[in-house]
Amino acid sequence: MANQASPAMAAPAAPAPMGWRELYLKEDWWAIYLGIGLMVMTLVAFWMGSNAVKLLFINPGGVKWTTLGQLLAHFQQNLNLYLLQCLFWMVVFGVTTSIMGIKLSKFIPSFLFLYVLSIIMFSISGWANAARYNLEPPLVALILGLILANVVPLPKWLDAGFRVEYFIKTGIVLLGATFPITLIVTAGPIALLQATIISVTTCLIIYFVGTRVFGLDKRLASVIGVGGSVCGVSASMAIASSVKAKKEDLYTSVTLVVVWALVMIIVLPLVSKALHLAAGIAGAWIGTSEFADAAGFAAASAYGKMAGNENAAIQGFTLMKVIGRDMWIGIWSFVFAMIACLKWEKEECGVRPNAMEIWWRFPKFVIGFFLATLLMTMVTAGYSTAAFNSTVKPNLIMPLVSIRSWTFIFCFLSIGLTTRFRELKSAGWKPFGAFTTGVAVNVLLGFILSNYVFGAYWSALGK
Amino acid sequence: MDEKPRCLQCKHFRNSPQYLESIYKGLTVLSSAYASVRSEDGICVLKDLILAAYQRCDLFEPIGGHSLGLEPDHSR
Repeated sequence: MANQASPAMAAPAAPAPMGWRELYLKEDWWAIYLGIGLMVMTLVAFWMGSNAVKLLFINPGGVKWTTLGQLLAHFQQNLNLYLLQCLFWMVVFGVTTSIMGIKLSKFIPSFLFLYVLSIIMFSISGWANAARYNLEPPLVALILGLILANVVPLPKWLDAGFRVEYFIKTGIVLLGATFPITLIVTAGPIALLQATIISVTTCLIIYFVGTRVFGLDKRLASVIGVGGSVCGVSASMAIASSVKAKKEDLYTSVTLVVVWALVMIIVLPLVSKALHLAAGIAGAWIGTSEFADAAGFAAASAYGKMAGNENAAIQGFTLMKVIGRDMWIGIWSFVFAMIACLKWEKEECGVRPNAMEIWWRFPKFVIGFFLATLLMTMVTAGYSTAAFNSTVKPNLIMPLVSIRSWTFIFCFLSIGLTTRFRELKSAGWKPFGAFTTGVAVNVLLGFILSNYVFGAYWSALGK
Repeated sequence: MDEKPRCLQCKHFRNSPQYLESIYKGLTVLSSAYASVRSEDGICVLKDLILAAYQRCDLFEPIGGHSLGLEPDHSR
C-alpha cells in the first residue's frame, strides 16, 4: 500500500506566493476585465450604429406603468430579451467567479434568484408613483433583502451568487466610463484633502478612545479604527494582518461596520433630505461617512434619486470614497505594519513589511475606473456639445448607465440578502463605544467639511 | 539573510477565500475575501492570529507534517 511512500510524495508541495496569479484569482481584476469589456462592447455597437446593447440591457425601470397590465405587457413583449440578458449575466459572472473558486452549481441557482428579485426591484422603480412614496430602488432592494435573509430561512449556500463586492467593483469601473475626467482633475485633490482629514481624525479618535478610555488592546483598536475611517471590513482585514491581530478582532469589526453601515444607508439620505442638501454635497458627505463602497453607493444613489440629481450624488460620493479613501488602503496597511514591527514588538517583529505590499493590496478596480474614464474621454473628445447630447448620450452613455444599473441593483440586493443579524457575533460594549464615538465625529466633521468648508465644490457637481 | 519558511508554507496557516468567508459570518455583506486588499492574508490556527502570508515564526511546520491533526488548507 501507499504507506511506504517517499517523503517527497507524502508531503504536498508548499504553495508558492500568488504573485501575478492574482490577475485571475482576485475579483478586482475581473471587475476591470468585465467593466472594460462591457464598455468596449457598447462602443463597438455605437460605432456600428447597432442598438443591440441597448436592447440587451433593457430594464423595466423606465416603463412608468400605472396598471399591472401595462407592466405585464412590457414583459410579454420583451420576454426573449430578458431571457437573453439573464443568460448573459449568468454566464459572465458564473464563469468568472468559477475561475476564482466559487462553485458554479451553487452560483447558478443563487444568481437566478437574484436576477428575478432584480427584475422586481426595477419594476417597482418603474411604477409611475414610486418617487412619490420614496420607493428608491437601493433602499427597497436593501430592505427586501434584509427581510428575506432574516425572516425566510434561505439556505446558506445561496450566498454563492450574492457577490456584493464583485458587483459594486464592476459597477464602479463602468461608472468610470461616464465620469468626466475634468472632474477628477479639478475636484480630485479637494476630495483627497477632505477624505484624508476625516480618515486620519476618525482613525485616531477610535484608536485613542479605544485604548485610553475603554482600555482596548491596541491591535483591536487599530483594526476597528481603520474599519471606521478608511474602508470598512476590507481595510480592517488588511490592517489586522499588518498588526497581527487576534482572529476575534475581525469578528468585532465585521459586526460594527455592518450594523453602522446599514444604519447610515437609511439615515444619511433621510437626514440629507430633511436638510435639503444639494445632491453633490450629500454625495460628498456620504463619501466621507459611509464605511464601504457598496453601502455608500446605495445611500448616495438613493438620495440622488430623492433629490432628482443622482449623477451629482454619485459623483460626489465617488470622488470622496474611491479616490479620496479607497486608493490609500495599501499605504495605511504598510504604515500600521511598520508601527507594529518597529514600535509594538521590536523583539518579535517577524518579517518587516516590504513596500511592494502597497501594490499587492492596492484595490485594483480603481485602475479600471481611471482606464474607463480615459478611454471614454479619448473616444468622445471629437464631438461638439450638440453632437454629444444628440448622438453620444442616448446611444453610448445611456446604455452604459443601464448596464451599471444592473450591477448596482445586484449589489444592493446582495447586501440585504447576505446580512443575517443572528450570525453576527457580539462586538462588546467597549469596542462599540469607541467605534460609535468615531462614527459621531466622522459624521459631524464630514458634514461641516462637505457643506461649509468645501461646499462650493460639491454643490456645483452635476450642473 | 533569514531564509526561514513563511506562514504561507505552514500547515497551521489557512488563507483560502472560501475558508475565510465561511468562518467570518457577515464578511461578504460589505467586503470579500477575494479582494486585492486582502492580499494573501490568512489565519494561524495555532495562535489564532490574522497574519500576512510573508510572516515567519518558530512554530513553523511544513504542510504534510504531522502534529495537532490539523488539515492544511491552501486552496485558492
